[in-house]
Amino acid sequence: MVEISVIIPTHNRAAMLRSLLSKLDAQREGTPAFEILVVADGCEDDTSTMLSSLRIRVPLRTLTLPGVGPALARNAGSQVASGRLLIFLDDDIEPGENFVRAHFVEHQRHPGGVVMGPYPPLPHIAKDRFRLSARAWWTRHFERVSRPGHQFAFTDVLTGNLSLNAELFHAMGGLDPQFARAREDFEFGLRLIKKGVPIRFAPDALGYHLEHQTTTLTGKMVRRYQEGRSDALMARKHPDIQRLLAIHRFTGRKGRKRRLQRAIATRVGSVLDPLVKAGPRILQMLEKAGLRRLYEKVERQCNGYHYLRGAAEVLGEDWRLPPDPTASTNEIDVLEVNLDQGLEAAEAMLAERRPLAARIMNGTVHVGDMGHRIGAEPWDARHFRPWLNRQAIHRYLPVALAEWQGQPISASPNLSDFTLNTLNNPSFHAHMIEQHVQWMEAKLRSALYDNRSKS
Amino acid sequence: MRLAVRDIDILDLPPDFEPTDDYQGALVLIRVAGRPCGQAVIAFDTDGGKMPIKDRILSAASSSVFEAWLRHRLALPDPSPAPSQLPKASVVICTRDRTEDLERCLTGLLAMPDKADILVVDNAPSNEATRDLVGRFDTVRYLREPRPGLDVARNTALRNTEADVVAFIDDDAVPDPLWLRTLLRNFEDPLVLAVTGLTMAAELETDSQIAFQHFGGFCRGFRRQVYDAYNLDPFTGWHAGAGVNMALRRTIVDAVGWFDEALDAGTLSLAGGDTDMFRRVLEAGYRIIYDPEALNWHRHRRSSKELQQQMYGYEVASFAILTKALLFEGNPRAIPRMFRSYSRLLRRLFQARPTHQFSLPYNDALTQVRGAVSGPVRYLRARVRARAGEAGHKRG
Repeated sequence: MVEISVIIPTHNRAAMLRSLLSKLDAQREGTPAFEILVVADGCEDDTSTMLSSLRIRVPLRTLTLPGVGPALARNAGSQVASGRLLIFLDDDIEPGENFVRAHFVEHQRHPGGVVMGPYPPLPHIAKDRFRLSARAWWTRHFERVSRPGHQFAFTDVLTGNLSLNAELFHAMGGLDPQFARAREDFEFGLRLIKKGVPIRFAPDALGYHLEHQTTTLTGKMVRRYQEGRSDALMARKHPDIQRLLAIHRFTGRKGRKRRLQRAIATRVGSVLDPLVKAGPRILQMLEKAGLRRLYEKVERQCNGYHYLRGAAEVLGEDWRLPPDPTASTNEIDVLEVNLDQGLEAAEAMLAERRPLAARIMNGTVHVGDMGHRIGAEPWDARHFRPWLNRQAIHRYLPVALAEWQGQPISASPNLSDFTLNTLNNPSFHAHMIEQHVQWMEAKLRSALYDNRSKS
Repeated sequence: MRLAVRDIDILDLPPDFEPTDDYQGALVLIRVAGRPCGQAVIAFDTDGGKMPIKDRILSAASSSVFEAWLRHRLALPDPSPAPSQLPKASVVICTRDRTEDLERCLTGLLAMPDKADILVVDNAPSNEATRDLVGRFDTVRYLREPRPGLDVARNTALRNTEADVVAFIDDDAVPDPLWLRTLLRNFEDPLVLAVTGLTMAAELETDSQIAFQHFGGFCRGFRRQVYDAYNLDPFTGWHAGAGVNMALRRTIVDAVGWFDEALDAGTLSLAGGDTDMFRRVLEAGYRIIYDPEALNWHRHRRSSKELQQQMYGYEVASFAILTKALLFEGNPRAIPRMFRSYSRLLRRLFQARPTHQFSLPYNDALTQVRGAVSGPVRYLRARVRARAGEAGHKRG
């Protein structure tokens, strides 16, 4: 009987899986005992041969399924798992040596929540546009969620590297089988957040994502189809978050362009599918020629087409969704927090009340609103300072500066609108414009001017 | 016009600027808790009422100062990388007949708390003055490279060091004490092949120095940036930094090759060796990090003629690199880039010249067009010479 089960759904990735399992077998000394459950879902390669000949010390069990998709594979794994703690790990992630222990320690520190670990791309050379954008997306994602004070939303919940108590997983009903091939983790994350389950990030539970070996331009377009299908299902199941989904722009009564796009996705697929299949090849040619803007446009069209085709499978002819229940009822309790008692007092109030929305004042000055975000966790103390530093900086900075200089808040000549608008803009062009403005606004007396005034 | 250069911490301001009757104003580097985070350009008022120094600094400060100040005030964790171990490094200064500058550079390097192998590469010297100077510093190595060319010297340095990282600094630059340590902290990611830093003006004593700094100088901003070919077009690799302040992983020669000896100072191409290297790093799928806390100070060219030659050289190099990419790398992306650059330059040529206080005493648009036109031919001739020089070197 072990405390921890690592569940790995896999599909035709025998070589990668072997590498993953050897990494799990080489966890650091002091790691608590755990078992490995490999769920082989529709494998036609040598996965079963590899597994039967594998020699590792960690107990390993195998389930075989007939190609039902990762959501059902994870559910099946959780049913037969021995451990009280379930760790879900994708088969294209290489875990670090502290992976299992980090999940375990985080659950000991804060019981009752869901723990996610990072899996940034394994450092690899990325030359073409698709590889660069995939690497950039994943790198940026984990930089964002690992930031202190990040407010987790359902789109941050990824089952590639996630752990939770088995009892909680079953109480939640596991992953929804409707979302068999895409977005099953977002949907699960949404249910977790609605239920109030805390989501935590464990930086040490590190894996490296081998996305450069498992994703392709063609595969991404296939996945867009599945994402369109899942988004449509998600909007039906959770109408309150439909506004956050791309599908929302196409449903209900819409203008001519949207209706045309819907009609194309619903009826003209048999004609357009062969054309869109040529997309990846066209994109490669455009990239080679250096036509970046055209590349991005064609890519967007191809992905958008596949997304709508997937959505059409669910929404059929009428493209109608249940009404959004949050649109009519606009009453959310807004906690009023005043900074004149100090930052610590404000944080304590947020920690105690955990509001969905808060209005932040400093005396009589309105600093900003910690707005209600549908599908995101409630606000808490740890969100407050990062929020002041980024989202609220435009109104909080004058207040903080006035306080620092011992001046009334209304008197703030140090900050021009230009400076406020340039805050947190790291682009090189913004820097060049700003420094040019600095030089021009200094109003330095030039030698020519001096000579003219003297004469 | 003359401007003072000041280095000030916003949390530890002096009572006022030192009395400087001869200066019209100051370029101020602003730190927060010791870390460089922004700049301000300030006029010294000889008439009228005196504003407190804090107000004057804050009124003129760049937005990055306020970001860093607020982060500090809110006690937020520092987003900078903090690796447990720094790679072993060599510092390389490529020099040619500039012993006065070199002495200041070496003195600054030896004042750093970090000890590193320091190598001076004397490039085609006209006398023994540099060797004599280096001989006075016990811990500095001297290497003579008889073939002229800054990139030739850089390649010689890369061949003669065993350190994991090679940090380059110009002979007319002086490092800040934490310069090397700050560069090295960025090499934890194995995809990072180059790290660059912020270079401020060491002095602004002439109109030309001020004009160069007004154009941006070697400053690439005050926010740390991780560049790859996704967020930076390789042909604008100069946005990522400059050769006056850069560190390279020594394995860069295996990943993207040596510096192009047909480029940069000492060749007909006049400049661009560092920009070309950055371009190739990005094209090859690697990363470059710009870390503005890796600070050094550069003495810009003093005279108008030197500045004009520098601008001409930058444009020559820009089109030399495009020519190289097109003809010798078969990169079709160079063509639209070339057309865009030529049309932009021609458009500027026929516009009215700006007449603000930083205007140049010569037609800078014409200077740039001349550079653009001669760039391709200059590169081809430089390439022929580089091959001949290399052959001669092998025979010798």
